[in-house]
Amino acid sequence: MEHAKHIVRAVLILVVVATTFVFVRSLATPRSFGMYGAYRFDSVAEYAAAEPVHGAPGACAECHEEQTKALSGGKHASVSCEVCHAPLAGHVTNGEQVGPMPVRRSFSLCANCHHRLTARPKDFPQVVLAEHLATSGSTLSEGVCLECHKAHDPGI
Amino acid sequence: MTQASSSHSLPSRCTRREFIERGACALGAGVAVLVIGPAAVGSGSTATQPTATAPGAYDWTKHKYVYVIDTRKCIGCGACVRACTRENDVPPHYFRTWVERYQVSRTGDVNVESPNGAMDGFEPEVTGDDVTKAFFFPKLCCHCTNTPCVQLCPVGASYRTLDGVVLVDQKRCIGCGYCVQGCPYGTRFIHPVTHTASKCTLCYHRLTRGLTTACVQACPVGARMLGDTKKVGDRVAEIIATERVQVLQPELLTEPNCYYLGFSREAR
Repeated sequence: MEHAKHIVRAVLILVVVATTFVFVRSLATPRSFGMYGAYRFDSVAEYAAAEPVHGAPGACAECHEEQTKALSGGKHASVSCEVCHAPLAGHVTNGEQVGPMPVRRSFSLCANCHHRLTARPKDFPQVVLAEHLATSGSTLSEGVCLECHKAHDPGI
Repeated sequence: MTQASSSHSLPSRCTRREFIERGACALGAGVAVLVIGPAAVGSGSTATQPTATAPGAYDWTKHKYVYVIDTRKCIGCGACVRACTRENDVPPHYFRTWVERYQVSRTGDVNVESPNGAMDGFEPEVTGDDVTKAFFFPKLCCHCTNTPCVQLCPVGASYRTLDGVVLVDQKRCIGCGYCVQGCPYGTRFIHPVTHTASKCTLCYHRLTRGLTTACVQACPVGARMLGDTKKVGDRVAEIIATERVQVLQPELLTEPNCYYLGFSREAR
């Protein structure tokens, strides 16, 4: 064991390096890292903590019974209120009214779903706007669709 | 030699060796205390931390989400894109979900377009009469089981939750963009403000509250469906089990969890 001191030194240096590495690593690694995999578990909770902007189904019906009734009985029953209006959060937050809910009457809103496109399913109600207006004798204006069709219960 | 050894063994001082040895011992002991201390505290809190990740009693081990899109029903209105943008505050001209229009001619030419991600729907086509097949094709993160994006991440920012949602740790992401390049479906982007990777979260904040995703809720024709394979008798899981479904680019073996009904071979 002539060279014992060299071995002791090398081992000593190795131990110091290893412990320093473990120490620095423990400081640099977030607390919840590695709980369920190679990621920070707290991030999951951060995502879950965000507040929904769109309301739960039936949230509108709590106040707007009449409109909900008209909607649920008609062809637009499958259309969520917020599709044509706006997300609930801009109107009601925590049960308090925080702003007005937009009411859009533009024909372009209707056209989004109902102007004729080849790619649309054939059995979906769709019109070429110019032709449709010609048959009904109307002229193109902002709220032209609503002259004949009720938005909540379009009656077609 | 004798002179040297005598000079090294002065009674009032320790030798260099002794100094190093003692120092190393002290350092080791100190480090051990510092390492074991926080580790013990950390493991204690780990044990007490429940698996619930949200307000309420959400247990992510009791869910496994799947997504089904019926392309035969999609009308290309873009309600899903608008809903997603508002729900998740997606910056303009970036999309977590979008709708493509495929127009195929008799000669086999394929024209794919998605003007502003279909945020404002689609204009009537001007390609003429040679289009023999046309359909809308909504896209979003497939939340793959075998994710290339998670494997690529060099800092452990991308991960897949136990309930099957691929997410990006916004505090850990360094914005290198490897995952953006690695996703074969082009569903990720670098957020122009935060400069971190951003993507569909499957509205995780809604799922944990028992709500469905914004896009599914917004779809007026029921083309988009969210299912839970761990729920008994789940309608969407039943569709995957019983109907002819296809995924995007199955040859890549990413095992996507977004299934399509009415898939066409042109879709990529």
